[in-house]
Amino acid sequence: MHFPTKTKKLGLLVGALLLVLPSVLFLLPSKSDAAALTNTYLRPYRLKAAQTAKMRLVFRTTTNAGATGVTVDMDGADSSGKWSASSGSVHAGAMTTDVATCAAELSVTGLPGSLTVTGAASHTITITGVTALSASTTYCVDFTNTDAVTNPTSTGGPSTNGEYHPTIVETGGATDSTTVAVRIIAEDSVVVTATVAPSFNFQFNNTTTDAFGNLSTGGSSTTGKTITLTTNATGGWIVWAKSANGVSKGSLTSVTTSHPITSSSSIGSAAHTLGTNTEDYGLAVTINTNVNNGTLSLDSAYNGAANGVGVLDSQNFRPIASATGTTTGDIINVLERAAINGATPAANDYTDTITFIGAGNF
Amino acid sequence: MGLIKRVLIAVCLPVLYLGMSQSALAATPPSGINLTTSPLPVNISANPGQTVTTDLRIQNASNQTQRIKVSLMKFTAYGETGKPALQNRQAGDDYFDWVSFSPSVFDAPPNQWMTVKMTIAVPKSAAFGYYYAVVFSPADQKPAGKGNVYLGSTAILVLLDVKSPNAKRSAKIVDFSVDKKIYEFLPVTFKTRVHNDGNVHLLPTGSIYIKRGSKQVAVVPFNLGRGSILPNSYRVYTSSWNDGFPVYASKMSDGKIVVDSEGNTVTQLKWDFTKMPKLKIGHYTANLLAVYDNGTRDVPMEATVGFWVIPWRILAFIVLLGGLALFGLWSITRGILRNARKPKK
Repeated sequence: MHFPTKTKKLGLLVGALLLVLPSVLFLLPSKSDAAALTNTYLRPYRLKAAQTAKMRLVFRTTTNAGATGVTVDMDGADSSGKWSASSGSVHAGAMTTDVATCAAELSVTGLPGSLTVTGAASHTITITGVTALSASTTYCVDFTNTDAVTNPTSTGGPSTNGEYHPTIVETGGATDSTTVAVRIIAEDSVVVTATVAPSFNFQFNNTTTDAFGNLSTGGSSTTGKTITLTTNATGGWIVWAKSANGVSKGSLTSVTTSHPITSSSSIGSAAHTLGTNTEDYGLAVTINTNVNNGTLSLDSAYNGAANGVGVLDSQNFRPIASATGTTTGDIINVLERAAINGATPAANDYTDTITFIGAGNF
Repeated sequence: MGLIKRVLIAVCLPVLYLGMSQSALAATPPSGINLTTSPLPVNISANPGQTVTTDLRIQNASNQTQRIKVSLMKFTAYGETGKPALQNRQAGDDYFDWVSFSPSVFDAPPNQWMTVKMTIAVPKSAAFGYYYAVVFSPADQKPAGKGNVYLGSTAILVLLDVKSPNAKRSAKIVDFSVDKKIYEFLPVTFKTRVHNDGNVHLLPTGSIYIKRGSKQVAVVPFNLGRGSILPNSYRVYTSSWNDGFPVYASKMSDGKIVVDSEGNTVTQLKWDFTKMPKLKIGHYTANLLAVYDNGTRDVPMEATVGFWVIPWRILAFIVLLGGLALFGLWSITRGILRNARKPKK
């Protein structure tokens, strides 16, 4: 069969086209289908209905790279009862952002580029100026206006469970998107209360007695004990002491001899020093540790500094030390001093019982 | 192993274990008295004929269970510093009979708070203020050894105000003064002597307003510790203005205030240059405005005192520096003028 030359040429042309075209098509960059962003969430800083707040966006790109913008639509996938219809909104106009904080907190990549962010139409946030995003990378951005979003007033929302469905859509070189859930609730905070009551602690290791050993005409002192006071009450603390022996003045008494060793000074008089060969007995108080936030003072009648000693009272409790203000542990030393004369009857059972009472002041 | 041996082991092992356990327990030495009380003080109001209760809490902070007994004392004013005088019941103190405790004796395990309910059955004839001290004491204090015996207790002060139409709530400031008329540096210590000439305790509160000329420069709280003043007594309240540069402060060492051989606090001058703008100089006037509740309204009490703050050492230093600078300037100027007058060759 003989074909005309023109027909042959036409056939060759079509054949060539059929051969070349698939190759050309193969070489042309293929347009990928839009995929779903993964690991994506929108987190308003407050979830309480009608509350204004900042907001954080986190999303992970798919294998499609190259997006140069992101759009957040708070109305998103909802057709009724949506964000803007329930009095929810976004900041109108230019918005501020921060990428460093979320990137550091989440160990992801802050959204790169010179971001321009605009809120519009009460439900759309548009981000442009993004440096082409990489594939399979998690990005974040914080919208830092204090009213970046205003939550809807309704905790019902489109599906009566308070859940709204904004969408996140890439723009530019990729167009992947996803729909997220944001739940709005009636109250997102809990009020916590606590009370610290005023208290006073009195610590005194009195498990053993305090002994003089042999008394002398030159005077002796016991080793003494410590009393620790702690309080958070601003009124401070006070300690009193009282002797159990003696008619009025505290005394060392002996069952064997019935002789009281007591002081010739008056109760309440300023602390004095022991004389030589003169019977005397009393209490001496000194400051061991002062951590007081106010003022710690010793009663002048019992200030044991410079070997002072004060006359104990056997009928009444007498203040021996006090402090204003709080303290984490003031410590006072309490000890007794005594002296005898050459005629003091010998006995090995001279003793006294001293009661100390501590209290927070009024 | 024979049956007898097995039985012996079965019996002896638990006994040995118990003995070792007891020894282990006994090995913990007693730590004496370590009692914490709360709250403090306790302020109660009641009407005549009313029964009121309040919870008193006590914690045994020692390492062993202690049997605690509760007893009652009273307190009155002791001097004018606000210290209470603790006293036993005396003849005529029938108001002690109004009080009961539940429980009055109890075992306090280590580190557990125990609550003692104090009930006061106020008779219809009661009126005005009654001041109790509720004393908590270990019931079986028996220090070991020969020598002086120390006993210890802790107390909670309770102030009862029985409302009466005849109650007189009245106080006045008797004296408002500073400890010096001229200070080089702060602190300035204010002493306010208040007299309660009523028959019920009062709680005055307020502030001291410090002015330099007509300008207010500081406000210092009055009675920050919220101390009450008992009826028919005086109490001296102390306030301190210490927001200055430099300022005398307690000398500290290892977190403790340093005291001298007399037991007095050692102070030192603190130079915090961030507070340089707080250098005080000039004449100041302190106006005290305090109030107390007379049952129907707040009654004001006012007083004023003046004082000087002259940091003479700093002033002398500035004058000396200025003088040296002026002398230097004068010397330089004179030198220049002399050179200018010399005929040129």
